[in-house]
Amino acid sequence: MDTNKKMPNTDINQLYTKKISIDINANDGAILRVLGLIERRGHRVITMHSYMPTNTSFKLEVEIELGTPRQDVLLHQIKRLGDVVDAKDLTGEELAAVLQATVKRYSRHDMIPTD
Amino acid sequence: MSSQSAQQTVTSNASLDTEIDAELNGAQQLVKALENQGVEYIFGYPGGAIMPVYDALYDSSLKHILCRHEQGCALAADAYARVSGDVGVCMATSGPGATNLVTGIANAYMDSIPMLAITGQVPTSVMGTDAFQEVDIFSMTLAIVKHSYIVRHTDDIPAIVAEAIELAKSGRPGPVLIDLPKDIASGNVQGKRFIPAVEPSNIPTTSSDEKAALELIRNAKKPLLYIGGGAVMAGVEKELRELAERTGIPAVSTLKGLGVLTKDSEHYLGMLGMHGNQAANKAVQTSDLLISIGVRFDDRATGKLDEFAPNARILHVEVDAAEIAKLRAVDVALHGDLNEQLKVFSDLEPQAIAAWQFDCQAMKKEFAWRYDYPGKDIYAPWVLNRLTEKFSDDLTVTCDVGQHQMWVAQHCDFVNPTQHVTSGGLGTMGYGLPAGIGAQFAKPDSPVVVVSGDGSIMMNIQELATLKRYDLPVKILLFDNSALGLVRQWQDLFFEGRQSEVDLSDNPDFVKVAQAFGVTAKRITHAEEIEEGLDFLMNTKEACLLHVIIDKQSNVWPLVPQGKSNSTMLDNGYE
Repeated sequence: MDTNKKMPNTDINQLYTKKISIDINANDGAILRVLGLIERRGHRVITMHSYMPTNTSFKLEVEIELGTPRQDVLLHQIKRLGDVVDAKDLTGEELAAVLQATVKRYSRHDMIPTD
Repeated sequence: MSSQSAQQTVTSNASLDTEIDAELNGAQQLVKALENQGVEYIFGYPGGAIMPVYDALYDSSLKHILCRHEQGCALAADAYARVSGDVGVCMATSGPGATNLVTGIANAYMDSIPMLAITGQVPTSVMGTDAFQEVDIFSMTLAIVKHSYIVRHTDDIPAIVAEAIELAKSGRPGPVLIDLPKDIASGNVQGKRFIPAVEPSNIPTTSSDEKAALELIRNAKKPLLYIGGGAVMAGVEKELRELAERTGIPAVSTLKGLGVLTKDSEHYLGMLGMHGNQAANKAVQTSDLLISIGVRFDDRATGKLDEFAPNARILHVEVDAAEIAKLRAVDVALHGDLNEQLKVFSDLEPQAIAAWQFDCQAMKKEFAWRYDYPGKDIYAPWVLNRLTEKFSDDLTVTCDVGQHQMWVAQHCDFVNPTQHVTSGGLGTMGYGLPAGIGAQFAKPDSPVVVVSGDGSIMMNIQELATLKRYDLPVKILLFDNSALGLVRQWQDLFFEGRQSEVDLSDNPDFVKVAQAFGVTAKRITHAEEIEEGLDFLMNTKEACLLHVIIDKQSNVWPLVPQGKSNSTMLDNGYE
């Protein structure tokens, strides 16, 4: 799939999406800074959730719609933020592991907790 | 940093000076930390929430420069950083003081300038209550800072200041904000470090694409060096001059890259882009390889992106990974500190590109600037060309924004890039005069000329008082066409001549205004007075202003219409 091709779509069930995982130091405004950057750089956020693996850090998973601008550039832009320790695309296996590790899980479509 | 765990990061940063003196209050900690970091000047303006810091400054060795508006403080700090190479520091109180810094912070962000902005904040007990002079400056500036802090504990201050300065100047530089609540500044709030430390980006200095990069260059028939502000920030002008000379590869530069190569460089074709030289734009459009060094493919340089350098492969040498392939796909990228990355080319031999060099030289000759202006009026490009001819090579020119800014870029000959101080990314009208102040503090023994227009000068004209206060010998070359000239030009060209709100024929008498501030001033109106006027600027020992009346219909040529390809340059000569 060409990840750089814009795919106009209004049906949330048919969106082509990608999940990225971001490790963030738990500083003032850190999550706001990351989410603001993602939206300001033209990416549409579909779902997101965060949890604190330690009391000084956040793990934030954000699902964005695939399209333009490029996601690889976005990852670099996120990584250069001062609070960000790491940012990466989530593969299927990593995604499953992350979901296992989270305190609560949410259905992607109806946003209702499943456990 | 990317491989570190969050937990590791919390306890790192031991290399920074984070000594804490429990006897000092927060403001005194701040001032001491700035002193320890080698800060010499603070451009600031006092007010309620920042008063504890001003009290601490009373006993400090730091030199505080009182501008007459907080925007002036931020822009002066920006220019100080550009000329000195140090971090520029500005400071203001909460609320309107902080919001008045915002344009200057954005200016520094857009041009990657190392700046530390310090704002006072209302006490923590009333933060979030819409208290008097409370604004959430932290949130307001999230999009225009490299990083920012709200100080929660006095003991955090030394580490935060050290981190902030390191962040501002490391990697791709940029502005950092510290928001300091008044009770933290005036108190001795004890406690261990509250926030996880932040470390500067770890920029790789090696690349696996070195062979591919060299192969691209050796196989190119029409290679072209495309040099931007990143090269200036990295200080690699010597390396690039040597590279161009050794290999014979023609070169163009962006607005921010001016001065890296000079008019004496045989293969240098000038500035590309919207108001660039036609030879430079034509070379880009016909090139088969752009060796892009410290550039971000800004729209003012590329014109219509889809049609920019349509035949060229792209080799991108860049410190910021987020700029690589952001707007234009690359064939090979060398990511890292340019000082290291340019070593890849150290053994590159002279290129067998004689036909390409011949074509470029022919274009350079065909599109050389002309100064045979027929009228008796003053031709601004000629004044600017003579300016850099008459002054010594240690001249610094700070620009405002508008037609005169483009004329400076086209017609002044700079021999090094820090001679040219301009608001490139944000295009901030009102930048020139405070920038002149910052530049003069950075180079107190060298001439500084502010080139401004009658629109721009009025945006920060109060800073004439700062010139007088500190006896700064800044010289102001003020072009006056009684209009917002560049907007008027575009309205004439692209809005059927419907000149809307661009007439400034009710300008004040700028000579009298300058004199009212105690600044010596003189006016010239005809071409025959140009030399006399420039001599006045050169020979006046204190702050002075030369008011230059030019034709209201003067235009900047050539021009690429916005959104059009650089192949479609308009040029109406002297019309």
